[in-house]
Amino acid sequence: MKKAFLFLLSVLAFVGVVRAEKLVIKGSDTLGAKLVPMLAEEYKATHSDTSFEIAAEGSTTGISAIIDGTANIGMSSRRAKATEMSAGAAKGVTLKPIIVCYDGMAVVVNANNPISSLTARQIEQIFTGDVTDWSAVGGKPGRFSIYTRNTSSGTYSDWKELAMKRRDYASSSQKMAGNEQIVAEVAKNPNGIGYVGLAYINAPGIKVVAIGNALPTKEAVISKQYPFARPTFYYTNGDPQGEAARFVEFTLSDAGQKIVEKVGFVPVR
Amino acid sequence: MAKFSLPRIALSAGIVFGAATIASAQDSGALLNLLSRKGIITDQEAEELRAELTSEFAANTPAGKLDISSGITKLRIAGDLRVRYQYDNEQANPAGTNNNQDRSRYRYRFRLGTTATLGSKWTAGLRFESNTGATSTNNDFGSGTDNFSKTTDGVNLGQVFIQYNDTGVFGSDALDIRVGKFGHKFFNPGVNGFWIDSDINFEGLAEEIVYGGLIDGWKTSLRAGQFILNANSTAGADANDPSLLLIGQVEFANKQWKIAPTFVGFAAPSAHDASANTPALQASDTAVYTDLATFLLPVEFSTAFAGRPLAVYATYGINLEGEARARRLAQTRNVDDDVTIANVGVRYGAAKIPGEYQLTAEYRHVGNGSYSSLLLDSDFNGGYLNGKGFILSGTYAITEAISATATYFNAFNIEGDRPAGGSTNRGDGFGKAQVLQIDLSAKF
Repeated sequence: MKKAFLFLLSVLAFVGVVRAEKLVIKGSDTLGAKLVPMLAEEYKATHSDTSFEIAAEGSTTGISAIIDGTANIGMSSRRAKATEMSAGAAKGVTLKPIIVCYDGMAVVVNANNPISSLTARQIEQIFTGDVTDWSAVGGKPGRFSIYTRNTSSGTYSDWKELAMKRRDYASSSQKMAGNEQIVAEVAKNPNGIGYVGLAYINAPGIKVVAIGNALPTKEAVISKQYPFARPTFYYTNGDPQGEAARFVEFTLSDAGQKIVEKVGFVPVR
Repeated sequence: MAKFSLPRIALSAGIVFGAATIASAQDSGALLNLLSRKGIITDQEAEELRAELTSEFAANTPAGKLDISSGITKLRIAGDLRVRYQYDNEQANPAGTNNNQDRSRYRYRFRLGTTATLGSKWTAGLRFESNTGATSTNNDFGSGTDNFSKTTDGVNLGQVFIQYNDTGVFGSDALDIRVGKFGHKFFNPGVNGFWIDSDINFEGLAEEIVYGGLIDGWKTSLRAGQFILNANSTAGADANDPSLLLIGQVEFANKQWKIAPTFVGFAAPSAHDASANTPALQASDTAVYTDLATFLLPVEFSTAFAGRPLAVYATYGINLEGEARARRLAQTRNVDDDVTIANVGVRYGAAKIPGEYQLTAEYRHVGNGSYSSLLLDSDFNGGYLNGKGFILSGTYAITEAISATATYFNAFNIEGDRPAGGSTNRGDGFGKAQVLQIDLSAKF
């Protein structure tokens, strides 16, 4: 009887160990710095056996992690490239995109900068280095200090695609690890200019510049009137399975989308 | 998770059956965006379809299977192939010495290159060529020891360079800097190039800066080259000073005229090159890196005649060190130096589209101390000094990519009794040199 009890106990303990699932989520800093950790915290409230490992080092790392099988969910603020699709296919991986929320890449300048709007053409000129001084776009004289994301960032490539006609960044631009670093630098530098996701536009010391007449409001982003609006993604290998599927479902649920809105992004519905 | 709604299926079918091409997969983004904006499909459906199409493109199309580095914004592959019949009749100077030639040759030339554009300002390029010669990349058919031998066939790296282009530098309209081994941009009118053989790939550094409005109505191009002739990297005193070829040119061009004052000079600081003036050390003129300070003035006037382009061109130059060069090459002070290099030619027509033709006639004069065999067109007078004569050439465009050309070179010694200067020509031209070339060329 005693042996049977011990056996039952060990089986239960084993089941308990198996039941405690770990979700590995890697990729975009835009999603992974604030939104996904908050979603994970909320999710754990009802799924106490689930633990999370979240690494926000750029969209490229998220997609690579799905291809390499080192993450359950890849966060990405850009679409997977054809080369990534074929790299995945070569390993039997089908990259499936799931829209998590919408983002508008906002142009931010120092709060004391008198400029309140720029045209899309001026944005292109500034970030490519065609113009180098604020006076060229109607501002106070002073050389631009351009802050961009680093090359593994989806925002870095999306910005090139949407705002720079795929041209190269100005050689003087400084690459930052994340949105928060860009915000911090622009807040300190009267000549600073950068771009960040919507979740980061309420930081002190900065202000958002309108593109033409369009500000990255919820309505302008969802209606795609804001020129630098984009969807953000989870990537999984085929349809998500198990705990990953449950977390995706939670993200897209009303509760998950409320968190999306709270963080500052635009919900999918 | 994915639901196949009717619009989505219709869109897929439309793309697959309507175009079924690489382009459809790549260009469908705008269509998907439009459909989602109009609410015909959801954004999620659009993304799933976009991913499927991208995946299909990557897996099932030849272009999709190419994995080109993300740093490359454009990749260009281009080359040319030429087969040639060539007749050479060369009579030595003085008569009776070596170098008589009376032969037919069946030749080919193949060049294949790629240039990778890396962003908006940088380019990297390389080109493979079918021979190692500086002034000729031809190979002879039937030159091996056995029938159909492949012993002389080879693939060599002819060009390898990095190029930087910019605008607005020093107020210019264009800046071009190249480093490595590459073709030149100097204005050099003449059949196959005159004072620079068209096959030469220079090694070193070259710059060009172009101004559109410096002189009203004229484009001004400043060009310079610093090219390594001999690195002199062997051990010893002064051994590490390279011997250089320096070229500078200012070209003024409008719709009809091109005028380009030019300087070509050798700079041989090492003891090795500067003092090497004996036949044992310097077997030919191509290795005498001294006594060259030639000023050239190439000019071209373009107009039209009977509905076809007509150009008259000429070059006149003198070597300020010509006397010393003539004496060094002849190995004697008892030589009449001729420091003048010149050509004059007329070119009629253009062979760019099928059925077009181009005819060229040119006269050349290359004095014994005027220049260097290292750079001269190798088809005229063997590329040597002390030659004068004429060239007739005609090209007919069979298609845009295929052309046929016949060229006849006929050169004579300027000074017929010049000493040969050792066992080789040392820059001294043939007594007479005739070359006939009949080419079929393909460009791709």
